Amino acid sequence: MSDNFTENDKRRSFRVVRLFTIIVVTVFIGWYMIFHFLSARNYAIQINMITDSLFIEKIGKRFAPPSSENFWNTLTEKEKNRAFLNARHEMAQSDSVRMTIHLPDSTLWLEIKGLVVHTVLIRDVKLTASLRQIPPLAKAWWLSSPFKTIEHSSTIPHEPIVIKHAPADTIEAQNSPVLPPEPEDKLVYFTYKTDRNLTLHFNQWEDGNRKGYFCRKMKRELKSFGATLGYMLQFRYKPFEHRIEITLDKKDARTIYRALPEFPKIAVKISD
Amino acid sequence: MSISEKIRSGFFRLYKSIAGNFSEWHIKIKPFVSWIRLFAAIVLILCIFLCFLTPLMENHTPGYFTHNTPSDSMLFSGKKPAENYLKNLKMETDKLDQGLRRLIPSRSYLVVNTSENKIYLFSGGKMIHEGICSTGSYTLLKAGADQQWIFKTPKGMFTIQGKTVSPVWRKPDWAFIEEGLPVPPANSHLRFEAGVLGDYALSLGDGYLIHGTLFQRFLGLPVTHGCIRLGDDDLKKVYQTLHIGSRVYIF
Repeated sequence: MSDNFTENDKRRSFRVVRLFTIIVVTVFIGWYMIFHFLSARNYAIQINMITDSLFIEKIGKRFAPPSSENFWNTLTEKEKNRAFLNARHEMAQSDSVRMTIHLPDSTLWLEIKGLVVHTVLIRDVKLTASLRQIPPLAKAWWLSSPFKTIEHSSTIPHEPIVIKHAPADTIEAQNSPVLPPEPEDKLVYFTYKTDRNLTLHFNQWEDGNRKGYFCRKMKRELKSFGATLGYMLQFRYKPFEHRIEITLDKKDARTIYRALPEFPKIAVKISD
Repeated sequence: MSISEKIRSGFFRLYKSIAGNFSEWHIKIKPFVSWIRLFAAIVLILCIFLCFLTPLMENHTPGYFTHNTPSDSMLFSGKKPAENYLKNLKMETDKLDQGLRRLIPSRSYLVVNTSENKIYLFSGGKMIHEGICSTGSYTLLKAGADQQWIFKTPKGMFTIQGKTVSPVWRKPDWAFIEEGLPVPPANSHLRFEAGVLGDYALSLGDGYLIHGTLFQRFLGLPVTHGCIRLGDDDLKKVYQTLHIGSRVYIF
């Protein structure tokens, strides 16, 4: 059979395969884009419905018209303040370490029982466009309670545990003049996925835009691509994910990650 | 010669020069060149997808989020004035603000940063002293199959439960086990050691103390069994400033 397979046949079969591949790839890209379009539209409808119900729940139908044009701005500003304080207040009910992200000031706070015990400067921040597109009032209500972490990942261990077997060669037991090793020198990146469609990515500032950052970003995109494919195959809308990417000094990033519990509560204030 | 032809011939020459060096290899792969090109094209498309299209679609799907200002008919038909709502909102915000302010201790308190092994002493809302300390080493000490201890400083809010001058250390079991010594009975005199905890100790409960150390050279490093060790001067300052019931925040 293969002897009868001429050069012309080979070329023709290749052309058929090439055409088939082009069609498959084009259909896939089209489907992917339409799927995203529909997912985003579905999410927007949900957001609008939630906003409507929140308006009715919070403001009520019996509400006099605003007396001035600035009413909505004033209301939004006050709701934002209330939301932020409420989220912090809820977090202060527990004794453990909590995180507050204050984007208008570019600062990140560690809080224990309502007291700010540590403040670090945010070097850079990136928000997904979807976060800016949520109506400001709906966003204030969305941020009015702390986010609960449901998943986390990191390049450094949460607790740098060293196993020793007794009788151990601990420093005092050995009376050795040798200093213990300095903290490990690893790239620091960590992620918190929260219960309300918000994922927080933390990157280190030093060398953060180079190899480690790129590999991590590619991994993340690959994971997201895989998740999208999964939803596409099941003919289900993909849940929309808001993302905040925060860059901190390496030392601060490590301090923050190690200080927080594994599944911390997080309050966020976003400027419009 | 047009620009596209020039580019094409340039690429061809480059290809030839590379292929020329590997002529044997080139002859071997020649029948598969078309397939390799197709494969490369698919990989390229995938890369474009991952690098640009997926993030682009996720971040910038435009225009579906309308600013949802409620319509008059839905919300503004009643008698209650808008100012009332704003007033209530202000009252609620003030209440929350006051609630948070009340949580800030009015007395002196200590903040311990275990990552950097630093302490910050506050009094009257101002930081009055900063120093170094040693905190838990994160050592997991294993003794046999069923006994283990982890030496880490607990995090969160604690209160000073007791203050002692010239404290005596009552050595727990692990202190003997890690040195390979037999564990004496609970009230044995072998368990008590004077002078190793410095001049003062402040208890945080559950056996955790803020105390001094003989190993001053390790201050600033994570080397303890969970207690917070301070230098002599820092310890004196902390002992004099904090009272029983004062808060200690450890993160």
